[in-house]
Amino acid sequence: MHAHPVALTAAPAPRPAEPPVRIGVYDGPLELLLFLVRREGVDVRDIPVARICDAYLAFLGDADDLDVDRAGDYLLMAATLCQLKARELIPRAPDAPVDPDEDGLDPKEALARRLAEYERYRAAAEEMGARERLDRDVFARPVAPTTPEEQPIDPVVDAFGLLRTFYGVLERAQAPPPVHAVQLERFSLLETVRGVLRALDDVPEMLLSELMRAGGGSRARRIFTFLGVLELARHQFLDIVQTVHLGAVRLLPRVRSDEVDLRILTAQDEAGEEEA
Amino acid sequence: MSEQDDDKVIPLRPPGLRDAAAPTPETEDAPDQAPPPSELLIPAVEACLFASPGVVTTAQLAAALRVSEELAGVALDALRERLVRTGSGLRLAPVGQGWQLRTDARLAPWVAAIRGGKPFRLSRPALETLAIVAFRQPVTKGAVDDIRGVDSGGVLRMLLDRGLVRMLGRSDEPGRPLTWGTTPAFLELFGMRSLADLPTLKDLRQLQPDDPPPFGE
Repeated sequence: MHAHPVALTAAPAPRPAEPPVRIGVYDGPLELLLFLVRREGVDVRDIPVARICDAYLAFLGDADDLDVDRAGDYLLMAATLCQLKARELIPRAPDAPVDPDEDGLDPKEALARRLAEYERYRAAAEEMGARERLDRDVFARPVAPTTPEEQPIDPVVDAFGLLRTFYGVLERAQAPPPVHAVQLERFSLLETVRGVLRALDDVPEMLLSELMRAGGGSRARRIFTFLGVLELARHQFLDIVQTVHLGAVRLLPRVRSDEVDLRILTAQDEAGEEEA
Repeated sequence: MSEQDDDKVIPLRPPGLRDAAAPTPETEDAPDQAPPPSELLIPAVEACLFASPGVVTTAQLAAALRVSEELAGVALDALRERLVRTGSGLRLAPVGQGWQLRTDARLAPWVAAIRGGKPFRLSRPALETLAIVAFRQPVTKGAVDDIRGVDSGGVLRMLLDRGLVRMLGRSDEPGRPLTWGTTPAFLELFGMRSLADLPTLKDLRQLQPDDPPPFGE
């Protein structure tokens, strides 16, 4: 922090009238720069580089709470400002063209543009912050959805229904013992996830149990379906909602299957394998 | 509507005539329901909105009330006006694709008190990031970082957790970075009809040297 080029900060104008400022207050070098430019009362498009550079460096020099992770960004900005100042100090013929940077822009112009761009989003953010906001300025009724599985089961069953059920049980009891042959099934998470999203495409919501039944198949397939649901929830492509303890688990899609590029999932999957 | 007022026998609509595009689960059990009499139309709209958990579209209302979407729209406008005129504590807010009854903003302190809990807070970095994503979507995290001059990963993740932004896909830029956009919940939070309701961004190219400085304080 104390390694800034002393020669360039020969005349850091001290401003005792200003309230003491701490760098932690500023969210990034652009915000700090904008603050300094405003304090100087000049236009972002015509920054007095030397003055602003001095103020910026003086500011960094005074800062005692600059955390190491963020220092780099501030130092890069300081370096840019020093470079700009150096360019201005070099005598040059009045009609000599400015040497552009790699993007073909005058570097000072490029910085001014960045600052102006940041400033207009800042203004937009301020305007958005002042809007009437739900749960701060205005309130809607709290959501208390009813879940289909909480409705009482209709207990009316006739004798034939009972009998049919009984026969069904008998039949299963008499079925030949299952053959234990293990077959390897191959699944692709991408395909599973795509299937889950498609199943949700045309419905506002679906019970998790319904989805599991619809998927059918082996235990392994069900596990995969479940993993797929978790994966989708992790990426905010669907919501998992359970309103009461041990109640029905409902899945609410947030996107349609054709709206998103599902390769996101697999790409992240590869990256996340070490965590697993 | 008016010719139905005097009729004691209101012709039943066959279920097939209902708006198939917007089936409402609430009405499945009573397919032969008739529309409300005209003097109850606006109260019916109010009641339906009150009883619904979220944002209700004009089409959903029309289907529930068995009236045309046009008539439902007229009734919504009338309700909106009536709430203001009669000094109700509620307002009819156009939100996203539909409508929602919300409290009058002037009543916020007292409603917040009875609600309890913490008010919904968004820090300035969060608002900035949200603004950039809203205006520039689909936008990569790198582009957001560039504009703000600071890493926005943490803020973006918080907005994702709150359901205000979502991943839209991948950019064709090198490395195929993820692209981000806003969600319907974002519109609901700020009471916007669509992204067209965003504040206007002053175009950089429109900034002329003779403009007053953009910061006027």
